Amino acid sequence: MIRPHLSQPVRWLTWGFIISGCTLYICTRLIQPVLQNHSHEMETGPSPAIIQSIAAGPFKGLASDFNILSVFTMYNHIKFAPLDEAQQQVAWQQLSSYLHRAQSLDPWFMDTYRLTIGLLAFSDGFASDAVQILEAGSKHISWDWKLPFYAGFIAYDRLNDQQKAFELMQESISRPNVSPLAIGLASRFLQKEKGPEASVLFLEYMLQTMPNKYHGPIKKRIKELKRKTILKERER
Amino acid sequence: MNSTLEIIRFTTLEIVRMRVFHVLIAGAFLLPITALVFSNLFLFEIAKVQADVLIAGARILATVYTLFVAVTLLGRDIGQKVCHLFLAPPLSRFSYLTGRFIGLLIGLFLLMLVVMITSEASLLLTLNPDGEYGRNALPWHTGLSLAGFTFYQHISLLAAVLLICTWATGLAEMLLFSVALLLITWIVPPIILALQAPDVTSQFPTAVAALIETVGMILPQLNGGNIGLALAHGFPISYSDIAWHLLEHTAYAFMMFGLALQVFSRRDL
Repeated sequence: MIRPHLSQPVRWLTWGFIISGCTLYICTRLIQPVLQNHSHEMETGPSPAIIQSIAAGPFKGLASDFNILSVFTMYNHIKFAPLDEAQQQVAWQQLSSYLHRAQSLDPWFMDTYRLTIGLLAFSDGFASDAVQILEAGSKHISWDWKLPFYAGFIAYDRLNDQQKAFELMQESISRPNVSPLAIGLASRFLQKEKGPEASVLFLEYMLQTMPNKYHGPIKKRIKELKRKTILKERER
Repeated sequence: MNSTLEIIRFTTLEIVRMRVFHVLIAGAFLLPITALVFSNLFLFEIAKVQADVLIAGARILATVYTLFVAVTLLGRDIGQKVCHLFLAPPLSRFSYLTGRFIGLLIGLFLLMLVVMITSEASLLLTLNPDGEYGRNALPWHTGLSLAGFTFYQHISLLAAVLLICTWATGLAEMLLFSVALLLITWIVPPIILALQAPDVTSQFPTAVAALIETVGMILPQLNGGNIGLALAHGFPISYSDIAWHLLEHTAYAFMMFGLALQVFSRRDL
């Protein structure tokens, strides 16, 4: 048996280092979540897009995946952490930044767009960010009619930007394999009086493509639109 | 010729018996499991995320091989002058370096072969062949393509590392310069690409824009990040794109290997 070349006090000292290190580590892991009610990511946010694309090098796809994971984390914080109004706003801004980064690193990653529609588009003050992300994506995914259509719908429904909505929907219906439903809806959106009903129909269609976990903001919007339609009918 | 073959055989055996190489092979088996676990955190494009992890993993394994197998082997040989044992007549310096290079390539090939088998097996077992590419399916050859591309991309890097090792004086220098080279090949292409974007170049004087373009032409685009993205989404890559990419790597590998031979033939051993 090989005996360690350490004297007794030094051996005790090394064990002291190991045990105190382990204890300190366990303490920091246990105490940290109690002291912090928001994560480090929320304080710093994602690094700028150009830095991320440079640092990602050949791992662009994986870097984009990590940004999407950060979106999940951020959304959980927004939903479950006790954040005040200002902190909520910062968290939404950072969630939006993560989606922007994910889109610029891998413009063909559909999860980015699904989360943009599900989370960002119907959150107050972030609809224009959603339109930007979807519009940028639609330039890369030239064979898909849905992205410009969704972007157009959000521009119409949330931003009241008829011009932008018209351009994007026009772009959408000129793409291959466009659904007849989309062509019909596009024309109805642009007729002001039929807009809200068409919006509800379209939002219900959107719900079918989203997982239950991310239905909240869309369902909220459907309720608002239905209430508006009922009020309008009563006025008449 | 016989002596070169003998060096190739010896190098391959030496690599296969290295403990680092065994760890890398174990990493190739763990890679699909990591990819499966990671991809299950996502909502829709599970296949794409799985491919992302496999591509990144293959690349990391090949990079670790280049740094810790190739550089340590050459560092010991050239830095500590162990190559004196081989460099006795009839073995020339040319045969020695060629044999070492081909032996290192065979080692990398074996590693990528394992990566290919494990990746193909995991993709075939876990994905749906009739599904939507990126979401729950990928083309049948994704594992083969990702391992093949990673192998090919590392031929030129191995040649560049060979040049560094024939020129640097000790193992520490060799490792430092090789890491710097790898970082440059990762980081510089996106910087040059970002600087060449029309909205950025419009802000520069013409001379600076021309200088950036020249630097972009001189420095190799060895990064292959966009090819990785296309593979992960199951997009067809055009044959001309593949041919140009491979040609660039071949040209760079020839240049580096030729320079390495020149430097090694003049080196005072």
